Amino acid sequence: MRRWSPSLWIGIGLLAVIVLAGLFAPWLTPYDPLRQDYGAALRPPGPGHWFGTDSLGRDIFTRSLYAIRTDLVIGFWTTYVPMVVGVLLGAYAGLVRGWFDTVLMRVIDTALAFPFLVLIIVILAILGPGTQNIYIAVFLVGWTMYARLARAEMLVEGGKDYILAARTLGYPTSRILLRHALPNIIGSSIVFSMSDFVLNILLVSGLSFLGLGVPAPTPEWGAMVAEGKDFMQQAWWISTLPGLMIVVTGVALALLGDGLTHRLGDRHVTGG
Amino acid sequence: MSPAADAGALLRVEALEIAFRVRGGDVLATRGVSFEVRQGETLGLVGESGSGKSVLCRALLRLLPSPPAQIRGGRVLFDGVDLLALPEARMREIRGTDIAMVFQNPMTSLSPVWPIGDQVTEGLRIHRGLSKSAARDRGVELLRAIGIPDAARRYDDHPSQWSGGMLQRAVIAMAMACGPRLLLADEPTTALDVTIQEQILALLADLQAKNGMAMVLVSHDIGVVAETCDRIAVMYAGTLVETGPAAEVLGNPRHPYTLGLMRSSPRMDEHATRLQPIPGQPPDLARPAPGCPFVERCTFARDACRHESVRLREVAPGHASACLFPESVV
Amino acid sequence: MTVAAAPLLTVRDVHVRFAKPRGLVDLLLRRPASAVRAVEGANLALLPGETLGLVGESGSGKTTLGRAILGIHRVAEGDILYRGRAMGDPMPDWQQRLRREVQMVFQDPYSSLNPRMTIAQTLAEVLRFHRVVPTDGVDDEVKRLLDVVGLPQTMATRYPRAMSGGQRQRVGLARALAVRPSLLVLDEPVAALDVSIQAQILNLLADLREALGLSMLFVAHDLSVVRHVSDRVAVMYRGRLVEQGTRDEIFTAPAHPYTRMLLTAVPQLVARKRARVVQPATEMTEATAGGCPFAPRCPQAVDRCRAEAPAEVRLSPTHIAACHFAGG
Repeated sequence: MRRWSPSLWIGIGLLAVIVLAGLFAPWLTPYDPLRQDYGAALRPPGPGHWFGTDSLGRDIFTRSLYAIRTDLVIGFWTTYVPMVVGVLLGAYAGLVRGWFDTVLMRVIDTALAFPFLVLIIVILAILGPGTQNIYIAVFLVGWTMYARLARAEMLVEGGKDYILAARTLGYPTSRILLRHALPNIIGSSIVFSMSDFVLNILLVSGLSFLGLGVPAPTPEWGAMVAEGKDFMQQAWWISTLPGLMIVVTGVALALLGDGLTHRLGDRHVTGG
Repeated sequence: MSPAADAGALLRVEALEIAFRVRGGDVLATRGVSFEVRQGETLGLVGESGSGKSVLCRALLRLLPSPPAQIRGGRVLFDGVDLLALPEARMREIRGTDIAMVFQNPMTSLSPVWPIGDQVTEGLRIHRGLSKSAARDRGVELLRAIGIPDAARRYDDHPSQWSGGMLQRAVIAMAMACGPRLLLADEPTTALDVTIQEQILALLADLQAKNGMAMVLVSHDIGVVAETCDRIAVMYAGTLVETGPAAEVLGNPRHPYTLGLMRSSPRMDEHATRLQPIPGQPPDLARPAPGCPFVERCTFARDACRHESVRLREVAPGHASACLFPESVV
Repeated sequence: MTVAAAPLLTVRDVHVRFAKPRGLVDLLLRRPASAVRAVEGANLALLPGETLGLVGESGSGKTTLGRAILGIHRVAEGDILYRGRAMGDPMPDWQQRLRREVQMVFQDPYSSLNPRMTIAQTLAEVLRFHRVVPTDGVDDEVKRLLDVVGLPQTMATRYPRAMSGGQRQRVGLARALAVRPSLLVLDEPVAALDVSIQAQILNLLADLREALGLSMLFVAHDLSVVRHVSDRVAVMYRGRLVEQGTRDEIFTAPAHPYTRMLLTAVPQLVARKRARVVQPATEMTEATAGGCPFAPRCPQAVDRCRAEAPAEVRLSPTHIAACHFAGG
């Protein structure tokens, strides 16, 4: 039947390694990610500190590992809360049409008329910085993409007779939406969420860089890259590993998304 | 130019074998298909979905995407020239001028953004180098000939303004523009209503008679073919199972599949309480078995049918069947 | 035909209109929606155990009328009565009962089944939702249903994609039969199938009708199929019923020129290359307001037809045609 493509396997494998490394960070490294040690500041990579230390003497490897927790959690909330809400709203609009659909689409068009980042910064400026407010800001903007995607898929799927059949059997709209339509339209949103996840991590990194993101001592890849910027000449290693971690996570999710595209999108008809 | 230019055979297909390379193996879409179409004749190619009739039709014009399609063997002689061996540039000249094609869905056969008239005459401008105004004059004439009322005014209409039947007329006009000698019509009326179907078939027959062109009419509907064609070729699971003059094949079918197709069609002229369906399902083309492809569904099957290879053999002059025991088909 | 029997289904002067979509501004200004008339003044009756064939070309409104009976499309004017009671009746449990007693079979066997549910899941869902059988009897009932529609038990765990068109259409039929309906609306149930498979399904329908005493509204464009399955036939053209009668009346003595045009257009299984003349495309020509909708295509049309819409003429107790010339 459906095959598990190699990219799916590699993606899952890479991601599993990253998640496990984050979970078992305290056992993988002897250092504390927050403890400052001025005597060991700006050490280049070598025995003791495999990836060097930053300007406050913190072990880069340790901080990069602990940052997995921060970044994956951020990526998760900034991606999947908007996805769940957006998909539900979009799919419902595509199913029932009418005034709900008209209003929802105008709201989405309005939100999408502004550049994504500008809108986030405006919202953050109103709410103030902080992780929680990042979630709120990204959510307020992010769901629109999923709503559009789900609505478009729903318009196609809703025209199919099995949805009509469910209606003629008297099933309630919520059941038709959740049990019949969603499993058939969720695929593209899941695939999209893989790249969205990476983009959201980058976004939060960018916001941290601007001082609107994760507050200072918490290890976070984007913030670490930003810190390294000032020492690029004498200590290139500060930015290297966190940057690499972002890339590897991105690659893992991209592979996963690619594999899921084949698996979820594979609706070819056999027989007949 | 070729020694094979025997009397009147405009198109001659010899042992054509087409395979599709898919995940998990090859699917043989056609196997050893041979037939010919004479000048001015209409051949009806009948078969159910998956029989390979549309694939065959497209292969004649080399329109199959490759990969996944692969022509494994055989020749397609048009006027004695093997089309399969021609360079692509020469093939492009033949398409639309000597051989034209009409597809099933008129709604998607025309581009929605250009005026219909311009699309009908595009071939004239490309292949015959007609000026824009000369093409327009000829285009209006063509539209009039295919029964479009008020043709001069409707020349500039866009496809969304016409009905499916009118669009199929336009598609036919487009195919006829350069005066082809062979028209391949792939299910030209399947997407249309029955009254419109009758009009389109009448139009095709009329154009054919006036231009002396040959036609291959592909259809799943044996009734459509019966009313339009001089000869019939019945296709099943990628092979031709019966060929012959229309009256002969329908009046005296010599292959159990042809008979089964006729018996399972509801009739307008008699009322039977029960139809006689063909039992079972068509075979899996990815796993061709030895013997006759129809054996699993055949009510006349004997042991030999499972092992001996079958091929078209003449049962009466001009009438051939691929059944090992054609005389037992009643 | 016993005229005395109370009809199971009555369609009385039914109109169905489709609103054209409105924009946000229209919505806010409460502008009325403009409408397309899909069905105009349809009258039908269906007796218990009877099969009525509803014939017409694309755009005739036959599918719309069939779906209006299922409650999928709203009826703008007129009434649809089931067992003498209006479909919109507020009686408690009436809607629930309608959902069980009136069922639909769809045209496209590829899109009418949820691709992510196995056959057993699809059937079990209906049985559980409508509590057709006690929970512990669902599995047995699924087996029985597969049996009824002639599918082997091994199909239960399959997904639709691993089945042929004919097999899927049997599943669609099993799903409709699961709630033990009295009336089946079949919308082109064999149009997407190959001839040899089509015959299998038509025979199955005949058997089920006999065994279960079902009434059927059989919507189709193919007259030879309709002739094969129907007791009575109704012909639709552009939203109107133009002729109704018993099978023999329609097929041997058609009174409306449109019915005659349909009948002669059906290809016959006889090799007869007919002499052909090019007929002009008239299907897009608009009928004059107030006139007969078929006048632009009618070979018999006279001035009166373009000026005055024909009333229904009753030619026999069972035969009605809407044509000025019906019945001489």
